[in-house]
Amino acid sequence: MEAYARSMTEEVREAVLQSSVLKARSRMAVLTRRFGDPDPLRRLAGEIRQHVLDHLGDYLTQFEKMALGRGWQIRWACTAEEACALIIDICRNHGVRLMVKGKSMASEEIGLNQALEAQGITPVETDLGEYIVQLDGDRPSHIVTPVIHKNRRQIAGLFARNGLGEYTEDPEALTLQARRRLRSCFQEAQAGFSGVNFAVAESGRMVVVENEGNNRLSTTTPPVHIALMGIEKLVPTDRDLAPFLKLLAASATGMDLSVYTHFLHGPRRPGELDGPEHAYLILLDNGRSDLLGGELREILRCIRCGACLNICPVYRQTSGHGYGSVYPGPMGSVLSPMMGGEATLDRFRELPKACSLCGACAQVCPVCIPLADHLVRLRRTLTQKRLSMRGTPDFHLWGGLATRPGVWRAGLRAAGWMAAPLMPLAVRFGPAKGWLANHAPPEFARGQDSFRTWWKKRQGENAE
Amino acid sequence: MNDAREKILAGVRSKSRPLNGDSPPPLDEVVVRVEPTGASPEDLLKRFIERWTAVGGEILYPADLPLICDWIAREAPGMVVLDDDLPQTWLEAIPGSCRASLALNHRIFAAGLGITTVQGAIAETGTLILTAAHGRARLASLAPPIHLAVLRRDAIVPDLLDACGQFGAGAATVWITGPSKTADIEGIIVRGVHGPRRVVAAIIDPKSGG
Repeated sequence: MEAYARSMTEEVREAVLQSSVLKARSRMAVLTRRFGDPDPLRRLAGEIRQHVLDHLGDYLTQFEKMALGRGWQIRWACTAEEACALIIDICRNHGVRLMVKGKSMASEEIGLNQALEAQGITPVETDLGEYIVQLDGDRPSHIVTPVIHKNRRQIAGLFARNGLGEYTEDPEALTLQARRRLRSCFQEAQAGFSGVNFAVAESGRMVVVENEGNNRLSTTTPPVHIALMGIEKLVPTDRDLAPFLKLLAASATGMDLSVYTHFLHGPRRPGELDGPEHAYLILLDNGRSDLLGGELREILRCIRCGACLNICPVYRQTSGHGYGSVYPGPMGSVLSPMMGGEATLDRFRELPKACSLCGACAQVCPVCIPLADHLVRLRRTLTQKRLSMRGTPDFHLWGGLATRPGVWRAGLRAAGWMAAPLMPLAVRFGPAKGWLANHAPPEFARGQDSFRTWWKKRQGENAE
Repeated sequence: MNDAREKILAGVRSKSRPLNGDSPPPLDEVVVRVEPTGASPEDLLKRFIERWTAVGGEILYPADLPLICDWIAREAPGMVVLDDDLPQTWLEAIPGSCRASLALNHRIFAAGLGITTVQGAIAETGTLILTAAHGRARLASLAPPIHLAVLRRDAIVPDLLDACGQFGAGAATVWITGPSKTADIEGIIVRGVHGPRRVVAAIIDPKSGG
């Protein structure tokens, strides 16, 4: 992660920093303008989400029953591989060769595009940012603004190389080029794919929010719609959507409400001419049920708004790519290590440590996830599993010294004598070398009292 | 794949509690509602126009068919697709118009203007409520570069909480809060990415038979 941050060009660093600072500010402006104090609303939203998670078994079955009644065909997937296999199977049954896709982090999570391509099915990302990422063979670096790390010159070059039109650095002209190219895809695709922002247990309704309209197109023209949703995304009632829609829009993009809030009720009804004839919903677990009821259970409240990314001092310096995981930033540092058992935990063992514990993320979270607490808990787990120690000096010797007062005192006296002659060596060798490269070595005065001896003497003098 | 369902539900049930009549935390209306309640229809209309304009929407008010025809002649060249909800008189009055339900997809994509009715609006956020039922309102409001939405003056609700109770029976409901937007390139806002770059709310007074 550190290596990535160092390798970032000044251009990228500037883009990420500017954009995240701006987003964090506009979020705050909207929330305080509209609610005065947004905290009661955040707390309420957190409580509703936690209530759902605490009773997820019942809510899932209630939702399933209602959604089936609306004509959704529901499939369940324990793992990313299962989810991909299910989607490929649906595509085969309907002869799908081209699939238009709305932005979905769950799709990134299961690696859907690669899986489809391997089967000869062409997925086309249609969110402008995701389209740019796909065209460039890149990865999204933010869960809301995927190309936060690219500037207009890079995008202009990319579009010109791919024959979208004349080279131009005008964002409006570039957007128009992408619009033209993607229009034919919407009309030709045999299937549309989308994520899901919320699903309502009492009504079986699904909600997709967006600003561009590509999700609407993906779920309006193609004959098949496939939606992918984590099992945790439920809210109890239709009315509960009101606080979440406000919080999501404000936290994600600093708007009062997203441009399009799309309520999907299943396949088209008899007599309707728009919308899919077949609507599928894949319910994805992929490690989520393991988190339920555990010490990181609140992370499942997450509504993927990206506010914790925008406010995070580490994210601002490293960009999402530094994390090496699908979900970056504070929420990603908690979630990513937990989504695939021991191997994933080991692979992302650095993430919980990439945090200054400043706590800004927990303060902006619209559903009050105690993110910094979670990162500390994860650090403890990693230490217990002896995963976090790799690459860092062994502190067991230190621990042994520090927990035995007699040995400690003797050690201190010895260190007082040894420090001065050893210091020139420490600058060149050993674990302190890196630290000393940027810091002046402390000065040791041989033969003088240690702090402990001095303190004892002082106590004695005061008593007299 | 029923195995997966059983496996996931068993895992979830072992780590969550049954509801047993437990109900979700009550929605504290004071916290969720930001607008003062009990606004008069005039207040709601005023508030809607203010917010709708603020999100980049356009207004024709008070609108009737002749005014809309004038506006189209001035602002919207090209073919016009009309949703089924609008009466035959509109089809006859608007030059170059056709029924969206009789048009193929590519014709709707090629049209210069889509006209649909909307079932209501939300004053709090400046939002149109489009409930798709018959006809092709979903595509006609989306594919052409301009969308003209016909809204009855008395169909405006105060806020999101009220709107969350009215979704209609169709396969989809869309809340439209301004023109299609993106800020993906350097955070600069560009309108009309995939949806229309202009959305016009033509507000008609049902009493005057608009």
